[in-house]
Amino acid sequence: MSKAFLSVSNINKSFSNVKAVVDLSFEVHPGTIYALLGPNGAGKTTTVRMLLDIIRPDSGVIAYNNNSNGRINPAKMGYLPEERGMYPDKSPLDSLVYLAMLRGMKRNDAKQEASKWLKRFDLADRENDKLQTLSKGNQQKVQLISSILHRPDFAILDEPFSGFDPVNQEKVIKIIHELSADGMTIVLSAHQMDLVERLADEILLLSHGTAVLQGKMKDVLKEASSALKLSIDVAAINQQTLAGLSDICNYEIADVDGNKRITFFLHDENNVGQLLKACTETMSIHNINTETIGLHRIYLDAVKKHKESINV
Amino acid sequence: MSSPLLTVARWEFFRYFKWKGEIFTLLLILVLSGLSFSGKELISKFSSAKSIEIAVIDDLGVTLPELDSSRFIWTRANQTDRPALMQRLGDQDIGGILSIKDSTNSSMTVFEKESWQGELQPILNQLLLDKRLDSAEISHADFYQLNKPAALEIQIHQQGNLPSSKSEKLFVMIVLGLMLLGVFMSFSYIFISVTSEKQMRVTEQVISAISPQTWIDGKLLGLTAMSLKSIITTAITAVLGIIVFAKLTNAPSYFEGFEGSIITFGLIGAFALAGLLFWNCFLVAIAAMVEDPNTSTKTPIMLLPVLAVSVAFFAISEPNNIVVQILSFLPITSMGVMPVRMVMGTVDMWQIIASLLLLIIAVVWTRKFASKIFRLSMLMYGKEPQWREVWKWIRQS
Repeated sequence: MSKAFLSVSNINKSFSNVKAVVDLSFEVHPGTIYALLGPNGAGKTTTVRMLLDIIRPDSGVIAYNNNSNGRINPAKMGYLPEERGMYPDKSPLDSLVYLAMLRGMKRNDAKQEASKWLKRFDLADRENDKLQTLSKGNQQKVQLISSILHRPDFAILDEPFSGFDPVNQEKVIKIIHELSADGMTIVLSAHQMDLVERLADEILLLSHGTAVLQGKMKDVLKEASSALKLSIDVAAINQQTLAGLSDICNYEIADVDGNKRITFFLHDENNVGQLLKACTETMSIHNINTETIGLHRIYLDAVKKHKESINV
Repeated sequence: MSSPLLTVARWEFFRYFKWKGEIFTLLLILVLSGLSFSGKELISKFSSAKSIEIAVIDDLGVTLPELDSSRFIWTRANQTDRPALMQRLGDQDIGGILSIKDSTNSSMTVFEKESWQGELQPILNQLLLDKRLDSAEISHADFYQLNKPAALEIQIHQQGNLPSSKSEKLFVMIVLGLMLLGVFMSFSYIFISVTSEKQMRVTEQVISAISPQTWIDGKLLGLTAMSLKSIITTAITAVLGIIVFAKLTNAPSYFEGFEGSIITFGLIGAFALAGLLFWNCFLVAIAAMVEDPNTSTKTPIMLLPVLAVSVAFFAISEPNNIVVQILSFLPITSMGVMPVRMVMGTVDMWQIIASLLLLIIAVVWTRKFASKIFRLSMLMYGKEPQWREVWKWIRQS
């Protein structure tokens, strides 16, 4: 494994009586895509602000390239904040050139690069229009460009897919892959688990400021792939049967097209035969479906488990 | 490569500088300043273009003077002519019908109110007064000699403390007006710049690229330059307007007798610059605290600089008053008051330098605490900092 580009060791941050981040440690390696996940209020934004040196941790160390002052040259980093904001009375070109110049680019270079990126996002003919005349999706494109225009070594992308249609989401995935392949180290935060699953090399799941799941994406998925999601659509539920099965595995019930859908989350040790036998004997089954468990389910389970452990 | 500081300053300056608007505003100032100083002469000039015929129905039989034959033409008439005269008045063929009843009473019927009617009043007064003097057999020369007002010439004993001329007063009024314009423009630029960035959530993106200190310094530089630009262009255009209109209308020269040295101009410029920087630091700090400009209780505090400069207008009547002297040293008022004392009162150079130094020290100190407030307030969303918190930050800065 290469030397870490970013190393975070035991950082803590509290606001008044609220612990926003608790004893958090992780490492991000050069050229990788690191996903910072978690429900709202989990501590992602506070962590990102500490990585950006906007706020300082109460304790712990943040080091870029082994430099423990917690700072990185702004010219070498890009940031797409969750709270989007640009200058609505300015053109995309002017706004992009301004933000790129703040990160050390020369005016002409910034202009050239901005035009190139705007063209790639099909905004070449709108580059001199006022930002407020652009659709929300197009404004998002401009915002995303502003974080990568200057070709930083390191970028933090908070919700990069927000506001994009599926076509543009695919475009963003492609671009992030390209940037990573060119050596850019990326920390991203997103709520679209299927997209994160396709992009990230490593993940960190936060809940109430604490890391509840951490590791390489392939390892996390491998561990979960031994698990199975079994869905059974039935006309009516036999509560007694389900009560008997609750010792075997977790399940959820939902209404689907006039039927009840029972979804069981199974692991290797679960006896599928015993479960199916119990269901077929006591309920009228219309449909059976199986799928392996993805990041979305892993995320929900990990957060639920953590909440139960701290009695929230 | 330009530094981030200059990049921010340039951005802030050109956010508000629009060529079209600028040219339109300057043209407007040119015309309005010219009109406000030479409007009277301009109106007279146009209304004097034609002679006005006045029909006089004179029961007293006064001798009509030929004071300005090109201005008024007297036409003798009788009471029986009145209906025909009224017809001519309705057609605006004559300016008015003047009825002189006795030496104290006269009336005039006109089509509508116009400026020449004011010019007729003193002529008529003189006419009727002379008639009364004749009736009373009083010599005109004796009467005017008796009514001559007593002359009182004031001579100042203190050296150098010469009475202020009208042109000096006018100059000071213009300087204070321009300073007011400067702080008012600063208020509007800074308020919009800072609160809109906070509301548009640009803050995090900028702060991740540059330090809050660079950001606030760039803002101060760019927006102060914008305010100074407003002051300078307005001053040049307004003075130009006054001079051009005065030439066109033969109005008196308002700046005649004013002797301003380069040093005086330079020092006034230094006070204007330092004062603007001082108040702009204050304004940036307050604006950063505002969460919602529509509901914030902190917005009215931003008008404080306007009041502080307005105080200087009271110094014009008594520039050497002890209170005025004290105000000329206080950084919150010295920007306006010291220039008034410099032009209209007596002030030693050491006092001017000391006052300017105090103002510069205040700028340095205000910038320091403004930076602290700005840095902490700009990332505070959803609530405004309490004054208690702000005071704590100031003490920490």
